[in-house]
Amino acid sequence: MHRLSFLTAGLITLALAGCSSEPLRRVDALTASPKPLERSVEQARYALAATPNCCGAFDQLPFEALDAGFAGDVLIDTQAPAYSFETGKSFFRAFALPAGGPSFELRLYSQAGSSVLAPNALLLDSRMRPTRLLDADDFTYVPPTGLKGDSLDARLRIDRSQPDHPGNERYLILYTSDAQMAGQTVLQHPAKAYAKALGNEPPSIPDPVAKHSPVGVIRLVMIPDNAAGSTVKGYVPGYSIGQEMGNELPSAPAPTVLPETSAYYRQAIDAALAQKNLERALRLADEATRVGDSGAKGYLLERIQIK
Amino acid sequence: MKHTAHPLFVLKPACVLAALLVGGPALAVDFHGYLRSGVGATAGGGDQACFQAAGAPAKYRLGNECETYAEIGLGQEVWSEGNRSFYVDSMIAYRSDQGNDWEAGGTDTDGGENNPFDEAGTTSIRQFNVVGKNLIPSLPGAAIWAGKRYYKRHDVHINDYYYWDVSGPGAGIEDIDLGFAKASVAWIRNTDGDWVYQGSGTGTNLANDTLDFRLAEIDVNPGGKLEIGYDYGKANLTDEQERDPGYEDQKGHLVTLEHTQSDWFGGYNKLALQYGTDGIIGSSGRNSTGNSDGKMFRLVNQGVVGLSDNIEMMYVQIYEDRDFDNDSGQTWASFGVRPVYKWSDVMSTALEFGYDRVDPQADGESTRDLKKLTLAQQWSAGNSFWARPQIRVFATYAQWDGGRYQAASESIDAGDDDGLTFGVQAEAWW
Repeated sequence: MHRLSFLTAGLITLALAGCSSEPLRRVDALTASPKPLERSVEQARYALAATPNCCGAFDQLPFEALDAGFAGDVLIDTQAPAYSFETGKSFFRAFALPAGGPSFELRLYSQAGSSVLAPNALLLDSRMRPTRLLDADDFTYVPPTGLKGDSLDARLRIDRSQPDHPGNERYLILYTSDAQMAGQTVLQHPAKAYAKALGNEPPSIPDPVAKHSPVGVIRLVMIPDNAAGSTVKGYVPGYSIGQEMGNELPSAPAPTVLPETSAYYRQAIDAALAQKNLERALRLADEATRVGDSGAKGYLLERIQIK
Repeated sequence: MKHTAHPLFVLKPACVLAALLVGGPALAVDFHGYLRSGVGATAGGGDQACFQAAGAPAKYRLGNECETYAEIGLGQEVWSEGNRSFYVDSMIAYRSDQGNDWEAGGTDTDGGENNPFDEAGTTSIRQFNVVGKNLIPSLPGAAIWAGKRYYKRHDVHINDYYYWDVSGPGAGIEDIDLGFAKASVAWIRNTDGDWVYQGSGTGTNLANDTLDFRLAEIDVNPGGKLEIGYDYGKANLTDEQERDPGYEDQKGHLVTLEHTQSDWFGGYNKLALQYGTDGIIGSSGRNSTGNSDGKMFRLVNQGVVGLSDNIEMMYVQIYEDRDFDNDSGQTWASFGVRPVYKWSDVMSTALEFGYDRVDPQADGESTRDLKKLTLAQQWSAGNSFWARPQIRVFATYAQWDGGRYQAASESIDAGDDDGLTFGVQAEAWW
């Protein structure tokens, strides 16, 4: 009898620890992480070489829509599409981020075991123009803590303070690069983690190494601003909408020219040409263009060619 | 047209300005610590008994810990410039009998009677120190430190035995790069009770100093590293203590050699040999002024190995011979294994067998031994031997000679030769 009740108590405790409520996603140690993808790095490289380039440009990538508050695992395996990025060919997953709603924080954890995918995270604005590229400098190794395993982690904030701004970051592409695939990550030996946590001298043994692989699992967690605060690296589209941001200048509709005006300039050009005054004919064509008669220049050129 | 990743784009002025408007990452405090707690019972009734051979400095811990113990540590790098930095660390430890909700220290509700609420909990200030790295230009990589600190402690996990531990209030320079080794020097304090003036009955504390010298990370063979240590412990006597003709203080020396082998059956092995004299005998390197003359030899061999993809095992062998001139010494032999079979990423079964044997030096005193066997079903975050947090449901059986000593204080009748306990315990470190 006693034994059973103790067992029940233990199981209840487990069940409680298992259900993660929303705010717990803010604490890395309480975010359970998936098992790292333990696949042969060599085989994954062959598979990558054999996989055709999926698309000609970013706008052709297969984007999957992410809902606000999404939390899940992104599997970049040999079944994933491949694309020739500027940094080399790579398997990837592409996502369309929620357009509206509150600004949010994106947390990325690339799970490390015997191998790890050293991620690049590329963000594009609504016109598929790159805004940010997070790479080896941004994804840093974080030793396991609590339910979180060994992983390369990055955090970024996606701004939605100007909901309809064309410069808002709308697309996320997760992939890796040739340079990163050539590297490796040194993990913390669990016996050393134990020693450090207890203030003991860590054993003098080498740490395990995770080879960088073309494939891996990345845990992706989106946390709306009200829960996350806005303390991580952010990108806010500029308030200027000048052309340096890739925006078109607002174009006023072209003024319409009265047929009489157009006819006058053509007559005047003819008269100037008849007097062999080419300079005057050119000035007339320019003036006609300025008042909105875009055909005047062509009319002049035709006359000259016929002659 | 192909779009290309062009990170330089973010450097354009409008974006840089925008980036400045959003703050940088918040300064993070490192939260580290340890806890073990749970509930258990003894077959036949009563609170969980924990078993230890009389005189043995340690006991095998799986399913054999009866208290709640926790350490809460907060630390932060408070300043850094280039590679120079200051780190402030702190740790408070808590211990309670694990008998009640409210377990406070320093309470006395019934005038010294045995109320279970009294004195059931204690708190200890274990670490408060500052470590300054790379502050001395002539010693690149070295750190100077001062304050209360866990100082390079060497332990055996499965029986919670610390064989080299001079932690306490202190100061020192650590990790001086000598090329072939990293050198550390420290001065650390321990106080070992009252000195009593002969005849007068009044006492004052006896302050001991330990000077600790270490050379670590010496390459000796492929995958093998050697650490050499020397500790000198001595009482720091006041004038009055010094003048007392009836008082003789004891000094001690301790030499430690430790070899760590990696690439060892899928894990590693650590072999430590220690030789100590007089005041340091029986300790982990701290001086005891009250010791008799004598000498001590100690061997601690331990490791964690991967026997297969699903089985990891920790093992330890200990032999300690304390040979005192007044025959108050003993030999202690200990052997333990904890194989763990992993059923999945989160569930495993652990078996722990431990054997301790204490043989007193004095004639006529009988040998005491204890066997302990524990079976535990464990759930943990990950499947490494070291994966924590962990919740375990356990049953423990221990056997000893009840005619010679009592192995457990709680729930076991005097004279009993064995005991069976069971319970649920959580353990975590972070």
